[in-house]
Amino acid sequence: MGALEDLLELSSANFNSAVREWKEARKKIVGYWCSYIPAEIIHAGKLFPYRVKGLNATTTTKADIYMAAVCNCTWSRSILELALEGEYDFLDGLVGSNQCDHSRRAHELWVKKAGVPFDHFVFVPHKIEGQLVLNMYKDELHKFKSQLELHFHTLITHDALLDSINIFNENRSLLKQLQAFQKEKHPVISGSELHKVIIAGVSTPPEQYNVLLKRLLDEMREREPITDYRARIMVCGWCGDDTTLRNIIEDLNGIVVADNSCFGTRDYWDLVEIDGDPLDSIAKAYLHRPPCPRMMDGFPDRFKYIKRMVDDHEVDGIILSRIQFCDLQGIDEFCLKLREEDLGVPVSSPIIQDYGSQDVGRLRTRCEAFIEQIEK
Amino acid sequence: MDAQSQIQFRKFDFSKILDLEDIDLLRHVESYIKGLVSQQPESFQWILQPYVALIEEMIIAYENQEHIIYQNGAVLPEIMYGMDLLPFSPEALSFLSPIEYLVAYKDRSFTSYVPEGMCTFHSAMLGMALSNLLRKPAGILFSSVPCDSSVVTCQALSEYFGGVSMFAIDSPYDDSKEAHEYYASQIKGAFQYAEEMSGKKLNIDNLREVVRRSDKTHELLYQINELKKKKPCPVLTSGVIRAVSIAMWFLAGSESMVHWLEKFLADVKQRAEKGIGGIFEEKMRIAWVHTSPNFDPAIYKWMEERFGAISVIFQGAEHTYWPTYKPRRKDDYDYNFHELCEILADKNLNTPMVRQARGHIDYLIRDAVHWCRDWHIDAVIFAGHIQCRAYWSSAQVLKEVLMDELGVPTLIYELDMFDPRVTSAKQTVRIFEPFLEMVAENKGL
Repeated sequence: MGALEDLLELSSANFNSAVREWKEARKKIVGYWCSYIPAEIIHAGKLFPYRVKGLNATTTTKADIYMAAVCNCTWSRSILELALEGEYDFLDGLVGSNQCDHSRRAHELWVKKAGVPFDHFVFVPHKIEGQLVLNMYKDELHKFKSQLELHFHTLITHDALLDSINIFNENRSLLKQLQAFQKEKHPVISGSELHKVIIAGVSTPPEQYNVLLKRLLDEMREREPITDYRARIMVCGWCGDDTTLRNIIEDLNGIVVADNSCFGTRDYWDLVEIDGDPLDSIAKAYLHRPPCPRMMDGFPDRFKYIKRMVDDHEVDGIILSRIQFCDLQGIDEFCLKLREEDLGVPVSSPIIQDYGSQDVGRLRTRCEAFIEQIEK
Repeated sequence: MDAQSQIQFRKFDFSKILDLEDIDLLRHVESYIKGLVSQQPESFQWILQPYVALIEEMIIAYENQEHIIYQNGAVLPEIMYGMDLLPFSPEALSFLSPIEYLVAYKDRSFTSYVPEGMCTFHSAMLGMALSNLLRKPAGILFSSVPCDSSVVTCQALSEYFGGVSMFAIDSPYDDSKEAHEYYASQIKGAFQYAEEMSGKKLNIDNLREVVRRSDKTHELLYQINELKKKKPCPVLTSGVIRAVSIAMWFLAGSESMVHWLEKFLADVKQRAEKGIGGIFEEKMRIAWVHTSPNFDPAIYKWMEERFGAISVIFQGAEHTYWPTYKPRRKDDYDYNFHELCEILADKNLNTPMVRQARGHIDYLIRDAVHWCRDWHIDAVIFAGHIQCRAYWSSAQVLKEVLMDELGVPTLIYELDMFDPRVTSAKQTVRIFEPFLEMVAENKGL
């Protein structure tokens, strides 16, 4: 099998082959919810950092008892459902954070109702700027490290952290090389494939992932480019690890060349620059990465980031999408619409979806209408 | 539901097209509030004084403070009072506006891509801004609590006004010493920001006095709430709840609220001594967890008349739940700036809704158990404001805990606390009736 097939397989199931092999070696896996929880710290403790996802959740019946469907997002509810069904029993620990109102409660409910051998909560400030904020986040990461050490009887040393930073930095660099294909007039990898590759990355031990990414880059250099697309699209918004929207856009012969998502470029765009203490370097890098809409002072930076993506990837139009009930993305979209002219490309009105969308027809109509407007 | 027919529920006509842009919003709200007060019996009018005080202060702030700073409801009013300024929270306009207008501004916001699932408090406020009824502020001071909607509304306002400067008070998740210290430092930063934006210097003596008054308001409300433990409850809580909310959310630290609460306490004491309850006989005691309908007081009247169900506790307004109550204070309030910020931080982090929504689910649950146990509650109504994610995902666990630990049943239902189009008053009582019948039956009534 080629690397792409391997990666697609890893992205397609929660209990994938990498998880199975890790468990068979009697090693521990720690799940985490949010991209502001540094996987490096988990990895430096010789643990497998695994980002939880809602993959293959076909219902949210049990989760809905605790997280009312009236206003809670389907991504969080899908993950909680899987946890209540025992699908995540392979996890030896779970790390939550205050990323948003939906997921923080889903984390707490998971711990209360399904239980996990180890749980920890990382408070992530809602601000980027200021020494006080950085210090708070650093303290949180130090506490996190100590708790991991205590529970898993492991030592997260200075050198182990440096090693982990290097491994994850390599991972980011490789993903950026892959992303660089999207800048070309005729990209060799589609947006939906890239999204799945990224999903595989948060579900695979990073050393194994790096090997696969290197193989993938070699394969891509030999691959036939995509030449017959109708428009180059940037997807702004979030539906987590759900690739439905990208699939629809590309079924319509659009091509997704850029995104603004934490299951996307935001997670790998900036490296962790080692500057003194490795944990402090991690804190600084994570806090200053392209910001999530949860950051109250983040819009100006996010806008610049989106604008740069649009320019660098020669984007023809931006499709705004969000998962139902997400205020964070919703207001981000409101702000982007206010500054549509500054972006210099058409911006769709928001397309609202549920996780694992069943209403493909509606989404397809919306995407098609937009592509028709912008195609050259 | 025979008794229901005797009670007139409010009727709204949402088909009318309102002029949303060509009005003086603040004066419009003022005249609505004053009209509302004048319709009340004279002996009751003083109870509604916080409504009047708030809108009058907002008008003065808006018209006279050149460098106005907008803040959200979770930002302590004491900060601006401490600066010898008047706070201006556009969210308060959502709280005070006539329902028909509130709903229209909410709908207006959706036409400009404000997400439809967003809290009415914020979407209506953004609708007012989008209707050009709020002038560009000098700065925006927002807190990250109690919800995501607060987190993003400041960004929306800042961007709408062309990138106006903003200061965010970031709330911690837990109650550790470090967390409170972090928050106190944020409050310090808020004062510095207010100085920069307003051009005014903080007078520490003034701040001490504001903190002293703020403590006093809390102490008075604490005493009132203690008296609510008596049977019958000597406070017609459903009649005063919004006034208390306004007093504590938007006016704490002002002199007028100290006087109002003193008068309120004296009245409640007198009633408690005489064993006077509300208008109807108290047969069961209700706690409202999360919110309660604000659009029609007849709902409470119906509960009282039909079932003798007296609303004793309103979680959203029980401002005196301080785990550390009564905090020790120096008689002369001779605190330095940092200590005053620490006091304000402790207070803010224990403000209802802020306390229960910002952190772990257990904060809400333990608080609810405390109220239900100590105030002898027979049943809980979880009035789930339809846009409030963190609360809604606490509801079922809360229900289970209250039943397991206290044997208290909980009704969970959805509403928009301001918008009767989600659940109308008549629908509300239809939902309540079988639940309250069950409670009555269990009590042998």
